[in-house]
Amino acid sequence: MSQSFILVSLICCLPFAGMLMNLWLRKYVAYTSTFFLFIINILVFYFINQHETQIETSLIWFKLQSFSIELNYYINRDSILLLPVVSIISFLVHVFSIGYMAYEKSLSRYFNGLLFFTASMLLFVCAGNLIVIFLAWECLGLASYLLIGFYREKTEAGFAALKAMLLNRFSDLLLLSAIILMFAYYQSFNLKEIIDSQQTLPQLVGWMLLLGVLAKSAQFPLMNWLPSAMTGPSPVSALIHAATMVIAGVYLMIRLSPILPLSVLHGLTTIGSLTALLGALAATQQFDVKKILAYSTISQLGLMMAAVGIASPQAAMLHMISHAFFKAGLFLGVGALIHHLEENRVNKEINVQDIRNLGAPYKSYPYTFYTILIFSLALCGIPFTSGFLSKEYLLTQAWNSKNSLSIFYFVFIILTSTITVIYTTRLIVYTFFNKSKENFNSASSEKKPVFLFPLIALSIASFWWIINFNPFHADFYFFSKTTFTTPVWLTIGSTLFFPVLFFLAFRYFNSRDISNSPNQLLLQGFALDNLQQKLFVQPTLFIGNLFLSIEKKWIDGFIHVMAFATVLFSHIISFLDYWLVDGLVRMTYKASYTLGGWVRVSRSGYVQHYLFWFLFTAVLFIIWVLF
Amino acid sequence: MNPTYLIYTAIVLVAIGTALVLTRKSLLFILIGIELILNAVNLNLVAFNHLYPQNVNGQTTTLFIMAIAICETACGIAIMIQVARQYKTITPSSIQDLKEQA
Repeated sequence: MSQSFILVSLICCLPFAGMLMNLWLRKYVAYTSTFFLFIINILVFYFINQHETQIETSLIWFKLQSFSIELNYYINRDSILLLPVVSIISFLVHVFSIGYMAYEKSLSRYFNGLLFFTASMLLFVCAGNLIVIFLAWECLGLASYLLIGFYREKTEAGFAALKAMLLNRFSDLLLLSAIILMFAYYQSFNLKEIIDSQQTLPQLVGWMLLLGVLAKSAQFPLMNWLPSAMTGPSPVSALIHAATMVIAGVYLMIRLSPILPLSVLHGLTTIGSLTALLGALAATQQFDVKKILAYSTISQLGLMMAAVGIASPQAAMLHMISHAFFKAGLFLGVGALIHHLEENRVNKEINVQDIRNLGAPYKSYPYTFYTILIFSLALCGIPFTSGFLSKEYLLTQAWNSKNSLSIFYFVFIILTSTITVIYTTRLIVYTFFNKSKENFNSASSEKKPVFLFPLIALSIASFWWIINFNPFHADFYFFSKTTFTTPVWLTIGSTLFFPVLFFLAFRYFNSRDISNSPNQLLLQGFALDNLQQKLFVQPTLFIGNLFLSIEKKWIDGFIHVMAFATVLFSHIISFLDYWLVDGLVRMTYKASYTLGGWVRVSRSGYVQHYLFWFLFTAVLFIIWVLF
Repeated sequence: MNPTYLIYTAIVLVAIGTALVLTRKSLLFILIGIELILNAVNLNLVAFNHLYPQNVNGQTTTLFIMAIAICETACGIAIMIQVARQYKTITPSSIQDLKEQA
């Protein structure tokens, strides 16, 4: 076992160790272990970044005759970038949860879920074997199921968890089939061997792979589980949306992008662009704060997916990282706001997640407000934020790409970004600047370090310096230096366009009340729920009912007839037994009894009678002897 | 003396004794009946000794038997006393242990 194997295993196993310790020690173990995890990841990041470009290490997991399945890790530049991001965000989410979940029961279960989630994601990021990848992939699904359904007493939380689980299972089935077919094609599960073979996947497998990641990354036809997943606790949403789960699909596509066939890449671009636009459109009509953010995530994931499709995984990676920080920040910020508002609301009936009820004066919650503002600006792509640079990178790649769909994608990015500015502004304005509502007391309680520390840390990570020192040059530090030039008109254009748009949208929303009649189609997220209900749930129920009636009518009927026949037969047997077998026995004893009765008449019990009979016999005997 | 009368007498005694044994309700009378039958036998011994006038075996045996009969009667009475103690009665018809219990 090499040194690096132990190091990488440590990364993946530390959260599991934390889970075990959490069972005994309970308090603060979870975030302590993620803190160590974060430090180890930073160390790994530095060492690997200094010395090597990739690590490939393995251990034989189990053997099937001559064929052995290996537990191997394959860490390349993408994984190295993602490991610290995942662990930092996980750490901050754990810290935030201490404050946010302070009044909840079963905290141990909650933190175990978070640690399990983190562990699965880290394993997924490091995994270098399709089997291990699938294992981690399923662990992610399970962890999301457990955490989305954390509030067990809420019915809708259970349904949301179930929906996430079922939609993901549908995709996972295709992914598993794709993995098996890939093995048939490459004769290996090893990711590095597969990628190094330079052979493009067959079309069919590529498309199965594409469909396999749709649900996990919340892409167009299977995206509706993500808004429902908002019933889980806010820190969980932050973790799902930023560091784990939804980026898993994009990440898998990034890893496999060298071997994807062209048609699948085009498919990725199309689906991603479509998802980006539809998600952004749906976000403009939502009332639930967290659902706005959920649709925003869907739209940003669409952009990443499409970036993979135009053969620019680096752009997808960069946007994934910058998005991870500001989206985690947004969810934590909104979570903090919800937490504060719940303490200060006038009566218990007010739903603090509905922006129609909000209107919290921003001066009462300055830290929350300013951090949320920074994250929102990053989401909008305002200059001097990380979001601006990653979007710049996306646009440049789309513009420079030779791909036939890249212009189409370019237009979609601009459209999506425009709508993103609109819904983000709407969120900010109605949440903080709506003064007409008297739903909340002004008492402030936000200066808790467990809330402030993660928010401030994430807002620091939402500025341009995490990508490049030059706020207008989107070349990421850690990417291999390519000839990367943004057209000057593009930089100037987006520098001017987005802030102006932001300003105009702010003016527009600030001057009018929230519209109470949203577009129903967009509010329902394109009625995907109904569609899936009609296409899958109802036929399944129909088939189920069909089988039920068949079972009731035929199988149960047969069983009933059998039971009746058995009982009838038993009655006949019992009748025969009583009258034939027992009757014979009874007849025998009755005959003996009767015969005995006849004989017994003479046995009266009187001594003198016996004597009489004796004498009588004796006389008869004498007579017989004499004559 | 013609022994024929003796034999007749013995027959009458046996008949009377048998009748007593079979019909009386009390054990005492049954015992008396048995004694009568026994004495009928004794009478027979005396009667048939007439066929052999040269000896008196019959008479002698009768004397012995009478002595033994006394003992036997004593035994019988002793048994009767035990029966009376056991069953509080000496009526055979109310002692029916030989028969199945009704």
